[in-house]
Amino acid sequence: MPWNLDSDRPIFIQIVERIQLDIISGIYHPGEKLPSVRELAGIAAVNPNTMQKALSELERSGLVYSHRTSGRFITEDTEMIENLKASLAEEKISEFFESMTKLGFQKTEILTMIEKIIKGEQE
Amino acid sequence: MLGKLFKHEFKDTAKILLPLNLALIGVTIIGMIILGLKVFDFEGVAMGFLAASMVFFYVLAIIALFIVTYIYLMIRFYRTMYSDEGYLTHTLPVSTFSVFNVKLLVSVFWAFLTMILAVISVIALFCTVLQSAGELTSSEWNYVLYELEMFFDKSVPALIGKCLLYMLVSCLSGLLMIYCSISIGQLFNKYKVAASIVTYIIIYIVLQIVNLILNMHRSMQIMTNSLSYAYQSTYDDVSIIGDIFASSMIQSVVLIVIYYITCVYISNKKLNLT
Amino acid sequence: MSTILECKNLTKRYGNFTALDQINISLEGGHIVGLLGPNGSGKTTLIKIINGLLTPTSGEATVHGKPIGVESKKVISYLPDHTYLNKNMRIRDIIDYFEDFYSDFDTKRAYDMLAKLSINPTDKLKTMSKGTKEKVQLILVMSRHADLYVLDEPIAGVDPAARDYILNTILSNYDENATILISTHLIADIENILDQVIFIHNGHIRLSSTVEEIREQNGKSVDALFREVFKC
Repeated sequence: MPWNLDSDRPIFIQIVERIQLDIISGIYHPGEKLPSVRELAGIAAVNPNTMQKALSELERSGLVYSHRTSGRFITEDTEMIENLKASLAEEKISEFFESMTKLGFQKTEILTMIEKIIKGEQE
Repeated sequence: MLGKLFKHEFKDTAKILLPLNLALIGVTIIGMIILGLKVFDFEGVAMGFLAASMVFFYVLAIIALFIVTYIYLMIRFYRTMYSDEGYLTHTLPVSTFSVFNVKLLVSVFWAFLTMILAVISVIALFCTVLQSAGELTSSEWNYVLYELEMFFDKSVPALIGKCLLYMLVSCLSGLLMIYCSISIGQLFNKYKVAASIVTYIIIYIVLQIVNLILNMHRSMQIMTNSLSYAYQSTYDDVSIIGDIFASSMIQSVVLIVIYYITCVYISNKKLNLT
Repeated sequence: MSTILECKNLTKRYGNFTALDQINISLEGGHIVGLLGPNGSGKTTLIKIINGLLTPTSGEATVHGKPIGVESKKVISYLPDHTYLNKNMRIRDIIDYFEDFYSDFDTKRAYDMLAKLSINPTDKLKTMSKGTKEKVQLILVMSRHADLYVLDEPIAGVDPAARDYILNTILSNYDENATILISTHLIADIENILDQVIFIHNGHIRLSSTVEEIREQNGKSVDALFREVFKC
């Protein structure tokens, strides 16, 4: 299945985000070998040069490292993955608060609503 | 590359044309056996009718063989050069010139082969009939050959050579006239096949008119000869026949050159694939 | 990277009609280039000239610096926009044909791809559905190790599953240093695999840019930009 990519943002950024998400959510395990650029490009149905650019970006951030001959691997530094997970979570939460504030809710109101929903789910 | 072009061209055309020619050889052999062994006694009305209809169908089959061969070669030329398949033919890493030459040579090979086989078939059957009727003794055969040599003032091998040359030239000019018409026809954006046929008819009519004008003089000569007192021997006529032969050869060769240049130019520079 | 294809002032006229007007294009190796334009914009005319099926009125096209001819045909793998194979031939025989004429043809790759689609090589082309025929043609074209692949409307009129197959086949088979020129009017379907686009309209090049540039500068997709440029 080709990846669902937005049409108005640079593709390589979206690929970076997508692979980050796959790493955090455990689709790719720490230390696991990534498919080749060509294969990934084929799976995602994107240009191999763009995929290459995205992987270089991931390498730069340290999330992915490359062995000269054997290819690219996910970092074994689980702490780094956890950190990324935490910062992404923060990002999502602040996005959520932002949109709720736009709807006119106060932070405390939002919290009580969340608690209510969680309770409802538990019952 | 040239070798591969020949290989594929032969392989492809042989699928249809080889069985046809083998059939002709088969029919000839069967005919020779029937006639030679006098399997049937062609006496009486019923048997006479049977014999006549066998001859009729034989002639019909030979004519059909020629028509099928030419139509097949014609369709194949159009299909591989100027229809959708032309996209493959003309993007092969071979020059258009080679592609055209190979197609032409292979078609001439088949047309010539069929013509020779047909002639051999007719002669073989004819000789079998004469021989089985006991009318073809070797001395009579020699006499016939001698008469032929005297009439045409040429040795038999030379005569055969001349006939073969004439057959070859007529195959070449016949096929090239068709290929040339198709090449011109494909220049039209619509109704390419119809345009090809019309082109062929126009070329044919023009040639007839030109021939008529060219031959006017000679026919007059034959007529005056036959009417005049000076008319003494048949050998004058023979020289005139030789004349006609030579001039029609020259005409064919000129036409072959014109057709050939036209075909090569169009397939090289004026492809109009749609 | 060396220049693979170069068109200089390429012009093609049919009588009074100008199909291509002073086109200049230069393509380097290792790119996937979209040749985008509405129907009748000159895409196919350009492609035919590159493949030696048409002679330009003026200007010239060169591949690796040499004029279009036998040498260029050796390194260009071309997929026309319709079926172009003899329908009475068996797939096996067509593969033999390609193998004989193209020294860069990878027979094993072709058979592997056919096997993946469970296409029987002894079948005749005419017994196949239109979609399968198109896939067979794509397999043949992508089984060559060419320097330039020219694909004319490879995804026109195919269903989404077939489209995914076609794009994947293209992406996983071309050589790293080769360039692919894809003509299409279905931009949204294909723009993620392009890194360069050429907009062509009425025989003129309206825009030539990289996809990332378009997205960064205009904040919109190539498809959206196309709709804007060619607004009726």
